[in-house]
Amino acid sequence: MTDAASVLLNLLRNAWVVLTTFIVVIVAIGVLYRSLIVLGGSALGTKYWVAESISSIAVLLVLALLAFIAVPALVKASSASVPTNAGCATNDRVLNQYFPDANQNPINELAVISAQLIVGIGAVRMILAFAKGVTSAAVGGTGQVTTALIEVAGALGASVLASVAVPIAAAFLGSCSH
Amino acid sequence: MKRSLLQVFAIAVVLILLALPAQGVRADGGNPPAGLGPLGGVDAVIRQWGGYIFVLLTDLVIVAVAIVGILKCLQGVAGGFLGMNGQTGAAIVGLVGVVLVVVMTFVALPAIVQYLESIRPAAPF
Repeated sequence: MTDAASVLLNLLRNAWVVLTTFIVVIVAIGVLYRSLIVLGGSALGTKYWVAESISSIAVLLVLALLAFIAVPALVKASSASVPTNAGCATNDRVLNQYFPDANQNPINELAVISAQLIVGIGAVRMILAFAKGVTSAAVGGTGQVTTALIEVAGALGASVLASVAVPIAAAFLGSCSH
Repeated sequence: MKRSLLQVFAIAVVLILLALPAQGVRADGGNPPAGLGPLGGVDAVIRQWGGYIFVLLTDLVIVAVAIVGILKCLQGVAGGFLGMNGQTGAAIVGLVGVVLVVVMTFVALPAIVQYLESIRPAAPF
């Protein structure tokens, strides 16, 4: 089971690397594209195009910085809130009889794996939301940026909910029968 | 149901399209770049296509700078010739804008991209 979890986590880590590369590439291309619009606006004398493009460049840079500085900090904070064991599972008499070593306890192992996956999926969702937001800002959309930021909040909320849900699920499934 | 099938089909097509050139760009003949796992090919494809589009857009900026620069010079000369100081002023402002775009594209942007690459975080989980 641990092997399966490590394969999934490895895939999520690779997705993270790909998405961060995507953000860097989109920022570079987006800034160039906006520079071309600035030139076009300057040639035609349309101040609105120039102002819009300059603000878009600023938005692109701010979003990229947020994605690279704030998201890892948020992921670390949310990973600290997700419990890595099911709380009272190690006190269960039946489980302790068959699995005297607490690390071999299947409930704990499941809790550790699920915590890692919850954090990994949440992190990839957050960076994916920022990738969508950066892409949208590069082409001049504003609605998608808002949606992306809402998705980040949703991923954070899911992590916090998981911190409550794991011990409750363990108790509900009977691992806390003492 | 039909929409879900279409979505699955679209994802499969995108994955195949990403995988095909990925085989070609891998320098070591099929293995992903060092430090990257199964999605390493996708990462290389994004970088390769991003590089192509970046070079194309840079060339376009050079052409646009030349055209806009000449237009602004003509505007300034015409404004001076006809005694329209407003047009001459606008042309000078436009030329300053062109210079700023050149600085942004060829000086600031590479520095920004290098900075973003340097702070690009590893997976924090």
